[in-house]
Amino acid sequence: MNKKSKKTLKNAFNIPEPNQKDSFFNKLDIKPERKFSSFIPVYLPTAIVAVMVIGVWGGIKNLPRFEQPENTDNNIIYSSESSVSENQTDYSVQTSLSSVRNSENQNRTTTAVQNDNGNTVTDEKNMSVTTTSAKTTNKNSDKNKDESSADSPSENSSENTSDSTSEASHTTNTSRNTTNVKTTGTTTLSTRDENNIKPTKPLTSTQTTTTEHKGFSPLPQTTTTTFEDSVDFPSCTAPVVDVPPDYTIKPPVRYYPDNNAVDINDVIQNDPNPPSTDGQPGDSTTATWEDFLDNSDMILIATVDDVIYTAIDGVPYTQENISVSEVIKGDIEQYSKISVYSNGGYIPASEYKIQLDWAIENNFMLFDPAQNKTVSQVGDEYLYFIKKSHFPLPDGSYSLTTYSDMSKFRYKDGHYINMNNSNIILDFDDLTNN
Amino acid sequence: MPFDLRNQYDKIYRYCYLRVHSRETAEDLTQETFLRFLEKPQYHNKNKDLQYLYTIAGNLCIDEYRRKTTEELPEDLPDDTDNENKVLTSIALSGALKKLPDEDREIILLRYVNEEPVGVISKLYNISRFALNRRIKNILEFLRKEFEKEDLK
Repeated sequence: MNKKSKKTLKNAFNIPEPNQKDSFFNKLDIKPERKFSSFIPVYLPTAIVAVMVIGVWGGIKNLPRFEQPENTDNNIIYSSESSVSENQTDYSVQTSLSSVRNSENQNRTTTAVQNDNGNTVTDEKNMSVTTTSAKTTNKNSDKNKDESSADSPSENSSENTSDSTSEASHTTNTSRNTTNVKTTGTTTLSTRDENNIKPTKPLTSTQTTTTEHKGFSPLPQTTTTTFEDSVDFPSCTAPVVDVPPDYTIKPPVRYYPDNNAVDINDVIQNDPNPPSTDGQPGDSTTATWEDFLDNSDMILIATVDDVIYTAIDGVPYTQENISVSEVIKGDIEQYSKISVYSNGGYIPASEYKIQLDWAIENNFMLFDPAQNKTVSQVGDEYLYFIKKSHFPLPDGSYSLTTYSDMSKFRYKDGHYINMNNSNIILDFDDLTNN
Repeated sequence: MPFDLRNQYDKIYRYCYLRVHSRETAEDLTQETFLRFLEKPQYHNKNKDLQYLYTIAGNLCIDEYRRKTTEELPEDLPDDTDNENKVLTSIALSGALKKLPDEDREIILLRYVNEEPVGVISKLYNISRFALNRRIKNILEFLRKEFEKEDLK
């Protein structure tokens, strides 16, 4: 309908123009455009942030609790030996974590030093999983390297006794994978103080050890704890998203189109024993509307997502994975994805049902159009007449109602034009009336 | 889709006017529609704004119709004589439109006067795009027969 017709139609309705429009919008406190436009960008990120916060909070809440020992020592030396194995990359790490506290450095937490060369360990995985306590600050690393890297844990304990009030050694053997962590280790806490005695709680897990020393509280007690702990990380639940049902199937084999492919019709003409096509369904000259409607299980408007060339028993087929945008007939959900088989396609000469020696020797790719006039492309939208496939086609797949692409129509200028015969034009009324 | 409330005002107003046949009432209903739309954040969906607006307006029109029928008959129905005097070239078309059922007339207004997308109208009337296209085609065919002088291709 052109503009003139629309204008005429508008006049025919005889609707007077509104006279309170400007006053209405002037009375609104907030400009409507701005108020409205602000809703969309605000709500979406807010919802995303809320979901993320809930997810993180839930994950943290479900983590196994670890009771932190009360021995907030002035000087603590942690010596850790870890053996870590991951799914894909196996490696072992030996680390020595040492921490020295005194009244001057109360805010520092832990210094992690590698045994081999004294480098500071900053591996986030180690820090987050094996020792949560390894939130490291490296300000005093030089000082501690000399003490911890050169000596064994027991030696560290003895050395630090002289200028500190307490000491602890912590040896951990850890093996883990990404989802399930089983921790086996031995923890030895050695503390000694001449002035004050406080009981220490045994370490129950090495997963969430967090040490933060802000006070001077020597612990003159020696405790040895051996533990074996198995921790399952909680699974995070992702937000439920409506995903259209996917009924597509995996093709038996996939071949890719070749620009140098040989048209099978040319080959058959030269072949002394061309294959017989008698009795095959879908003779385009005899197909009628009744054939389409009666033989079709479903009539759909769908978009081609993928075009896969495959073969079954030496016969080439084309599998089109399509997304259903509208269901005219049939029992299937809108927006679902299905696989539709049609005859013809690309196939290597060596796999073709007819052994063509010269083609096999030259490793040719053959193309069998199979009476199709067109080749579907990804993104095309068609009106499909399809039915459930039968042997030898895979279960769960569909196939065109006719042998060729007569069962496919392309929308153009308000009509659906047959892909095999452009003289066949389908209108909306044709379908519904039938 | 850029969404300008000022532009939508005219469309909603026309939609209401077609139902209530009164300028003042249609404007009141239009403004009430926008107020309700703006007050309710849950109505604000990027893809369904138009649908929500028309749904609110339609419900308000229905309420207004019920209220009017219990009070009095509308006195300000569009006067055929006035219409013919105003738009001489569309007399026949106006007559043809009046022969249409109310819902068909609304569909034509929404589609060709308000120029709303087929998807919005189909959801508004809870029919498929396919059925809507067919229905529009039948309506236009009817109008062509009733008004052959106008070009409604």
